[in-house]
Amino acid sequence: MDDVKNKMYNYETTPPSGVWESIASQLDVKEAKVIAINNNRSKQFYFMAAASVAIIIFCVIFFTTRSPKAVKEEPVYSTSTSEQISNDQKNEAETSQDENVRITVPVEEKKDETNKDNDELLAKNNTIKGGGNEKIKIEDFKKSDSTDTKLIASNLDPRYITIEGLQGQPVKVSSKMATLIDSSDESVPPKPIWNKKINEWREIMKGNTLAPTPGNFLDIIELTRTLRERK
Amino acid sequence: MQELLYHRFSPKMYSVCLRYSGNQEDARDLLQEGFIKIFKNLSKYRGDGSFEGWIRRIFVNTSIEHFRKKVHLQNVSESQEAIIEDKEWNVLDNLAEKDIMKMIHELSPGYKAVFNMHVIEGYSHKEISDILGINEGTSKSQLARAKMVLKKMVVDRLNKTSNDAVNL
Repeated sequence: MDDVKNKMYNYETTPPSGVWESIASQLDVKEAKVIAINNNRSKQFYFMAAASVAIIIFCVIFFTTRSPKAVKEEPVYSTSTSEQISNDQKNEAETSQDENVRITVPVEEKKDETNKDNDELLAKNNTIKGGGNEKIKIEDFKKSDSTDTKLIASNLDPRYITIEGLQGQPVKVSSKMATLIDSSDESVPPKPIWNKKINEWREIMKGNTLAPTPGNFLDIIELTRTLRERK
Repeated sequence: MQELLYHRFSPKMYSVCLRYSGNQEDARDLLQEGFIKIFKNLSKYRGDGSFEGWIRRIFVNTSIEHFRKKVHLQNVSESQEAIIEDKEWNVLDNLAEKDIMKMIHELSPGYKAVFNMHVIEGYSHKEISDILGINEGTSKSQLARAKMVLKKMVVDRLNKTSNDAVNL
């Protein structure tokens, strides 16, 4: 049996022609396919890299453009207070009877809410006729130094600003009202138009017997003017 | 380099493919498939054994794979294999390679596979049973039957030759 094994183990037969050519062609096709796969992989890699860069850029732009808005929503504290008010202190400042004036610049406010607040402020000004409370209020603002008034003036762009009222409660007023308060302060250069108006209203209300309310305040003034003109 | 390897080993490997397949068309396909496998896996040759042995093993495996797709061997019982296994046989020793090759071609696929693997490639029956997914007994019985068929072929051939000589 060993003879058979040796004979057949080393037996050689010439293969048919053309086998090598077909092997070579198959090898070429497979190599080409491998290259194509590599190209796809590299394309995928570049696509993923580009996508991640785009995501990073988008995030950077998104958060950087949003951050100033967030800063705007933060309350601006009067510089008349020497120490920074932390969140805890902020609550204390709101509830205390401190004379500091706090101004915040809200980004979005509902008109109804602000009107209501304006009405509240006007309601507090009902005693303007007597002059007592009005004096206290004006003094509140006067006690803050000139930087406060500058702050008020600089924040006139938004439609409404918030100030701290007599009882420490936040009061939202319109920018016009803020200008009024600002112009009543004698420490800053006077604004003749508003001073004149305030003085005029004051005189009208002093000579009036009707009780002013937020709803009829301007009506009383208008009525008085009409009566004067007729006289 | 690939072409050099092909020309160096293709004659021997083609005869391996012919022994297992039994026809030139299949042998050609096996030769092609085997060389493509070799060229793709050249880096996997670790140099443990001879390079020719590594190549031959790939061709044998490729041929067996091809054989397994075509033929399903049925296991035989122990009693049958015992009877067949006892028969001794060495009639092929005096024949030329070409004649042996012709006779091997005439064997059925199952006999041919086991005969090639055991007698020529040197696989044990255990290895053959593992590779072909059959019992060891079946491998032995297939080999014994292959030997019987070959012996008959040799005897017929000798008888024919002697008759021809007498007639002359």
